[in-house]
Amino acid sequence: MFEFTRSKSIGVEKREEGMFLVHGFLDDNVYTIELDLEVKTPEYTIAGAKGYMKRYTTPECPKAPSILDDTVGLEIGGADFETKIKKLVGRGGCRHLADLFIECCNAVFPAALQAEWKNASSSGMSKDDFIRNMLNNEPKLRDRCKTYSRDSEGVKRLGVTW
Amino acid sequence: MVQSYVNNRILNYTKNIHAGAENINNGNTLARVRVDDTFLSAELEMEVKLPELKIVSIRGRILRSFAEECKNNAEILQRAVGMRVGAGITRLVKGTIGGSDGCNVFADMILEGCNAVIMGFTVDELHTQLGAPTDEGYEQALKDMLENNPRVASCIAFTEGNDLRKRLGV
Repeated sequence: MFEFTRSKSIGVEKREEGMFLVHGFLDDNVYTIELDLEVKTPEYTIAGAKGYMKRYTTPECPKAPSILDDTVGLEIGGADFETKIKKLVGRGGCRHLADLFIECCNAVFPAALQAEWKNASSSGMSKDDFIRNMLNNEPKLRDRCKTYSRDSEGVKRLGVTW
Repeated sequence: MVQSYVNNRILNYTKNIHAGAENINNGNTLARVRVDDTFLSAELEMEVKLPELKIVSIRGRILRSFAEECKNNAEILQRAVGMRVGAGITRLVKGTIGGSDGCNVFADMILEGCNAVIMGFTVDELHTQLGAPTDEGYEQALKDMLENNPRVASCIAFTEGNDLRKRLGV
């Protein structure tokens, strides 16, 4: 019987100004892996990473998280970030741990955005105004996808150009 | 002060991803992926034809999103029909489904589905290889796996000269 299921769960908290803590959990038919990540802002660099292999296939697998020390100081994001992590954490340790690591890193920017949106909405800012500000102030978001492309109806409606 | 402490501990952002793959009656494999996070909720189903591992049908929708326009992007998924789940799929999906004329959420979900299909085969293989009832059988299965598997240096278990290889004499 061919059957496989995998769940990944990520949570991000802003414990103090300038530091996000990310907790990741991966569970599937073969592996259970946990990861705790500290990300320093505004640099968005890895300040600490601890992993735990709870269920695995070989006696070597529990040694994989030791490679995470080498990620400290890396800046998250960027074109080659995923490739770098797949090589460093995946090939050097465990590719499923690398998968969870990338997922945790990808959660930091939305968490920062959520913190900004929470402040903006509580002071009465509309979603349209927030998106307009975001596109004006964060060039990285422009043309990131169809919704935020210069030709999209939504972007035209907001009157943002670049 | 107490309220401030509680606020600091409430999670800023949460994300849950669930991916699964199973055989269906026509002999193909169906992968299902669901993503729910603070900003978005989306679901996807794709059928992969065996043994070619080709995506033969796909459908999905964005149920909740921060920008309303995201809900209109489901037709992008049809670009994945005909793709083969194998080497180069990550680059292909990111370039075709994601990017400035695509949807990065759907791209990631397709890759998650592809991974579930591949892992489905791996689980079958592991059941056969590592399901030995005795310690001796398990050690022999590990040795066979390391000797016969071409994935040298693909992870810590397959690294040349590691403790496991030394102990098993591989």
